[in-house]
Amino acid sequence: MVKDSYLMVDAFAQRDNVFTRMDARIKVSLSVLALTAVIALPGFILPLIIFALTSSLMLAVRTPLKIVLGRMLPPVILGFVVFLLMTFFHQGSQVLSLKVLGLELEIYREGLVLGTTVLLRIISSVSILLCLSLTTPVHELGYALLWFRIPRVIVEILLLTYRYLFVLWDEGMRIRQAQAMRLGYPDWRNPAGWKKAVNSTSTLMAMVFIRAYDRAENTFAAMQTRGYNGEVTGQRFKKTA
Amino acid sequence: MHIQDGFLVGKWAVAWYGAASVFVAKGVYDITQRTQKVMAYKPLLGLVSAAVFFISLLPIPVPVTGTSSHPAGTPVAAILVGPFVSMVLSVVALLLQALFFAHGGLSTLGANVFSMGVVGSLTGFGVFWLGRKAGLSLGIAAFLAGAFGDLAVYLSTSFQLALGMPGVHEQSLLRAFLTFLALFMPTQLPLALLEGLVTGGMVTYIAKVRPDILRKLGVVEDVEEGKN
Repeated sequence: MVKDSYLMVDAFAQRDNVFTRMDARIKVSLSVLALTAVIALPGFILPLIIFALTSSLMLAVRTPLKIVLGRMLPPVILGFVVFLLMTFFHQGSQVLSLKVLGLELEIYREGLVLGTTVLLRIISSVSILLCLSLTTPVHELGYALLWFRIPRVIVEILLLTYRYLFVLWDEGMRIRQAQAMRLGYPDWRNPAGWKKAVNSTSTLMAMVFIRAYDRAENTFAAMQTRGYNGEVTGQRFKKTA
Repeated sequence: MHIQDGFLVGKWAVAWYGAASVFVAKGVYDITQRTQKVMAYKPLLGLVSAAVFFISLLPIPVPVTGTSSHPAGTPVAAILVGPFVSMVLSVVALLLQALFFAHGGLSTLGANVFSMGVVGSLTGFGVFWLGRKAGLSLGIAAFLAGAFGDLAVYLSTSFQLALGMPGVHEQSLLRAFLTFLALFMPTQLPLALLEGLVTGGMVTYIAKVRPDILRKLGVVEDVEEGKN
């Protein structure tokens, strides 16, 4: 489910501060550079430094802790699972062994190093992307991507998708609520309730698709009256001397 | 589930980018060609992409445990708009998820597009096409496409994770693959069946209430005219 923290990110990108005023191309380049460095270079220090930098940036733009945690926690939990897997299943020189519930768990040095590396990489790369999305509105990002020669078709569909995702989200949730009020989603631990819930879900999916299809025709008409001729136009980066 | 940034080592991240871009290029070319004939095509794809994105975020009910999980969505997109165009839509969805929803990542975008977009779309569309050729009904064919498409996505994700694991050697590749498979399967097998069920249900419902959409998108050819 899309939580509030997802929707809020866009609002932060619309605020006015040093980082949102910065050229989107610079932010994209810096993010890609930082990501490449984190993933390609070995060692623990670089990911930690980058995480410290991104955290201070998030502090500087006054991001509420709730949003940061809400966005960082799921990937970090996943990373922690991987960390545990690697620690216990990677062969190498043994560091210590634990006896838990009659099971003998052996921790290996190589696994520990590898697991920590992956965990740190995940944490710092998530924070890099979070910083980018906290400071860059989607349309500016789109124009930056165009400048970087990402195919027009992809960028245009991306912008349209982002624009209508929230509209369709609201519409879908309204339908879902109406279904729930008519007992469309009963307790699905019993077969009859589950069957009903699956039925309601597929109906909801179909309805959202149909509404999206109809809305596309209206959207196209609206775009045409504004001079759309097959290509989205708008702000361009001016050639600098 | 998408592969998170940091899981894949550099060379595999680049390799999957290369592999995926070949297929995506074909999709981009198709859309460009089609736009020259039908100007409304790109706005339509934008909306379809948003709808599929929404669908992939919807919780679908998992029986027994009472929890819910998320469908992949690419099989149904492949059925509705064709496999190559669906790959482009998956690039858009994954890019948005990486940048704004913290699922997946930029360095693993290629790998995720390959598993979810390329493999999911081709399997989903292939199974649907074969099923229709074999004379199966729309709902059954879509059910099979959804189920097999979802399974194929997770098979290839397990394979990518096993390959990209830092420090995996040749002899343990198979073991790593089987480990990931064993980790995924208990949750993924029922989920694949569910994705099949909701995909089948969705396509059947659209065919029932708005057959004109399926006809316009070329999913069905003038069948069951006058039945509704």
